[in-house]
Amino acid sequence: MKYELLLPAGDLDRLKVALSYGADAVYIGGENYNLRANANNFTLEEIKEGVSFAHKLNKKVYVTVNMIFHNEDLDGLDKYLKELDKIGVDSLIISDFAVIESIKRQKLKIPFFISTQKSITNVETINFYKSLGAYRVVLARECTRDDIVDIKSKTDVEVEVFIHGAMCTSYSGRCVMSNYVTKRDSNRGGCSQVCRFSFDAGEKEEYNFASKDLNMIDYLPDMMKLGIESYKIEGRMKSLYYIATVTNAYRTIMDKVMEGYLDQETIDYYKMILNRVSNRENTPQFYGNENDENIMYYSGRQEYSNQDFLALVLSYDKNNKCALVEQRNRFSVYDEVEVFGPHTPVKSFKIDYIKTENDVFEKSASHAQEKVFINIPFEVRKGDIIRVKMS
Amino acid sequence: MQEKIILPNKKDLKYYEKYGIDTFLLPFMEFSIGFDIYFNIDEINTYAEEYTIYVLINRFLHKEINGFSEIYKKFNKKVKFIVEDIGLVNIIDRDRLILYENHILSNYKAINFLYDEDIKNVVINNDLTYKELEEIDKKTKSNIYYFYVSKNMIMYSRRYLVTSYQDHYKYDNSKKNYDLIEKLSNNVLEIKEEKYGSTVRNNSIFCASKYRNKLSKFHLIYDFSNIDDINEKMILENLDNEKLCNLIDSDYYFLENEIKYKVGDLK
Repeated sequence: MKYELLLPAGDLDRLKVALSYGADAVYIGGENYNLRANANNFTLEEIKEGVSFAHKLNKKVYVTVNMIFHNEDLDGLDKYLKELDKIGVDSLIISDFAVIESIKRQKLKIPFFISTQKSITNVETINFYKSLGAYRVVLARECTRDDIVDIKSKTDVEVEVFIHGAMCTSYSGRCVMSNYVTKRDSNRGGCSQVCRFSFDAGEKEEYNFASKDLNMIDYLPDMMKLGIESYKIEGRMKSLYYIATVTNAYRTIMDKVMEGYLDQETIDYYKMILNRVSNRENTPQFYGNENDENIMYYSGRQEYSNQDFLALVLSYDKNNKCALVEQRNRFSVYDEVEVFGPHTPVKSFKIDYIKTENDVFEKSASHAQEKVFINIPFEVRKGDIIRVKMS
Repeated sequence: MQEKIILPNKKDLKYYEKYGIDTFLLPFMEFSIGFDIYFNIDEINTYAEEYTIYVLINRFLHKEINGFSEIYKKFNKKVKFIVEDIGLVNIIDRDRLILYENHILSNYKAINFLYDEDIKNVVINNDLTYKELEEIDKKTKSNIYYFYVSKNMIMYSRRYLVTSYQDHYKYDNSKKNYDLIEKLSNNVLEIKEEKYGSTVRNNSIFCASKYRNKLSKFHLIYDFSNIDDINEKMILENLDNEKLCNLIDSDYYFLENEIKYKVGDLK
């Protein structure tokens, strides 16, 4: 059976990183009609380039057209879908019946599946969407293991589940607190995350109702046994480092499950990696029937800032065992660091020197995005990532 | 013909007769969430002999949908169903079904698509402007239902959002609801926890009476959940009054204010 690791990509760079680091497919938003109105989002030209890049690797690109349409948003929809069809996007991720109507009326060939925005929790709902032409559904994040077992035993429609990232407090799509409190439309990509605001409930401590993030690493082998087809990471606004790290972690775990030699040490290592790269606490949430105080987040908008990403490898000189790197966070001579990449397993080394492009030796690389030479005692490749040593 | 439908906050529906009410929307016990009262099958079937009854099922159904066909058979055949979970479309006869995707169904093309799929009765989102509603009215053939007076339910979660907070801070957890005051805007949100999760209603009453003449083809739902007796009485005495919104503590929300969704569009 083929299991799909599906990553988000906020721009072309992140699309290429996600696919290079092991994603089987990426989902992206065009400039219109998706639920990340404030992300950079892709122009049609960029979508074309992304699709071409992915197809050369035999991988896929899905485009989210998953906002809830108001009348005024319908103008231009036909043309946009036609363009995506022409580009050869592998699938659309949709919520609104108006999008299905347009696909059918225009007789477009582009496949589509149903977004988590529709909060699908049972097989009858899946059968309904199948009757409309959907080949896959994204399940609501509120589904338990039992729900998924029941669904998988009763349908041949592909199932996609979220395994990592932020979660709504509500069933997806069933929250307009942003509309009422800040006049920004949550179902059209403008959510202001009112659930992360602080409230006075008349008690001593302020009230918060934000959710912790999702992290399914402990349950991933079990989920794969259930025959779920696609495993999705949340976060189209996340950094390149986050995308690379999370992709690498889940790719490794999934490959080890398929090869039959995943051990607890590997799970613990990647759990530690994922905890470090996340900016909020995380749990498996509803899959394991958790539904109590431990799945909620009580620290208001407080989040951790991650500074593990030290540098990006731009090139490597094998003869001199020297790499040109671009700085992302401060690092110094004598620091123990590690490097990893799509074809570079995690390896650590000590920085012996830092040399500028003007041949000046420095004790630290402290300027954002400055290019410096450092020693690396083994071969690395362009695009590999240097980070703080994790263990 | 336009219907006026009462979603009551009292079990005894006779109370409403003196206001000329004979059509009710009754939240189905165990299958609904966010209301003051719920009705079981026996109560619903008894009332269906006397009044026009719609049954409300607004919960997302998980595995329990598998047993719904049997439950459905037990209902009085006169009863119609307003349902949130789209899986019920496969179980409930289409002529007895009204699809209610709260906050989701927001444009005329989606409504017309559903009409062609033989789903001809829908509840339209009431977070829309009156201009959007007018256009929907003109461009659709479906029977459209609309929450006309209501403390709007603006969030629905599977989480236990009251007891989680209380457990975290070791507070007494006998209370199952709070009025939450947002600290910057002073917006008040009413949160309530029940067996199947939590809901949030906006604190002030949405009332579309000012635009009643533009909604003449819509069936109007008056939801009395969480509305006090004084406001309830005023609403009941002025069900057809276009000036009702001036007589109660209400606002029009988005009827006159388009919601922006891109930061660049915010002024």
